[in-house]
Amino acid sequence: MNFALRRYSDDDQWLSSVNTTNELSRSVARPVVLARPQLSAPTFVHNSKWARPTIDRLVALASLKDNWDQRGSAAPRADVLSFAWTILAQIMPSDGKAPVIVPLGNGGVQIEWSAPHIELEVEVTRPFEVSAFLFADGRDDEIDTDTLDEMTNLIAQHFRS
Amino acid sequence: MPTAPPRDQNGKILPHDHPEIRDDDYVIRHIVSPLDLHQDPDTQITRVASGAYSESSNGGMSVDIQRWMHDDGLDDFHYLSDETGGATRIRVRELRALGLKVGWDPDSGHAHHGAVWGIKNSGFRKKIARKAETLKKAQGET
Repeated sequence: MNFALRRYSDDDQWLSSVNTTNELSRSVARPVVLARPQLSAPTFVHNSKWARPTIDRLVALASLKDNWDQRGSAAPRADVLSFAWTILAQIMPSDGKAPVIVPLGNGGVQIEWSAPHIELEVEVTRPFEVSAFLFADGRDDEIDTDTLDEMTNLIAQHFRS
Repeated sequence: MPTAPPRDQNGKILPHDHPEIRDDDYVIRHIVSPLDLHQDPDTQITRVASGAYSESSNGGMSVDIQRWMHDDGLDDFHYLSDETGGATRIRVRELRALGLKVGWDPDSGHAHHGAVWGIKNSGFRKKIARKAETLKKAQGET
């Protein structure tokens, strides 16, 4: 994936101060890290029309077990589902069209929107591992996911309810 | 018995193009309802999502090898797990033209089981979806 999200990924951890002499001697090159506190999406997101069906879908996917399809697919990863929601909360307008979320065989998910002659598919393989394709007018174009700007603009332009 | 598939030192089957899976053969992909389906609320059309054509965590997209099944007297739906499931078929030539490998993977199910390797992203999945022909609609598919 891409630089901006990786940079955001780096922000996922806080460095803690090194606090013992013994630890210092062994971990000069390996800073201790702490998980950043999880923040919930803003309240307005939960009031959006797309939010309820999307949450319902994510909850349903979270209940799947390994081999859910009898084809050897992995269960959707909890961290992937959580990250997918984080992205959606950032890119969706309040009147955005609820996406279809499809489990992938590798534990990731594919988030899809469709409208006449245009489709957008966003794959989340792992947290901070995102790729996206736009299919329109017979063309397949990979979307820049360095930032969320292009996805946000496409949804605002083409996928509103 | 087909030629044995190549394996690594741990016995795991390696991605390969199996010589006895011909370019004009078809492989069958099972479709799970409703998880593999994309319902458009505007048009009320429900179709197979391209995400249905993804590789498993062990690598490779699971398929059945249609001609081998027919040769052994089995129909296309012999390995479908339940009545709600659907099935599509894809010509092996089309998959190989995308740079994908189509091989034999008898360890992951049964003697007619194959795998497709190299499906890297949604772009590949969409191309496969466009080439897939419906054999049996999954429950809810329109």
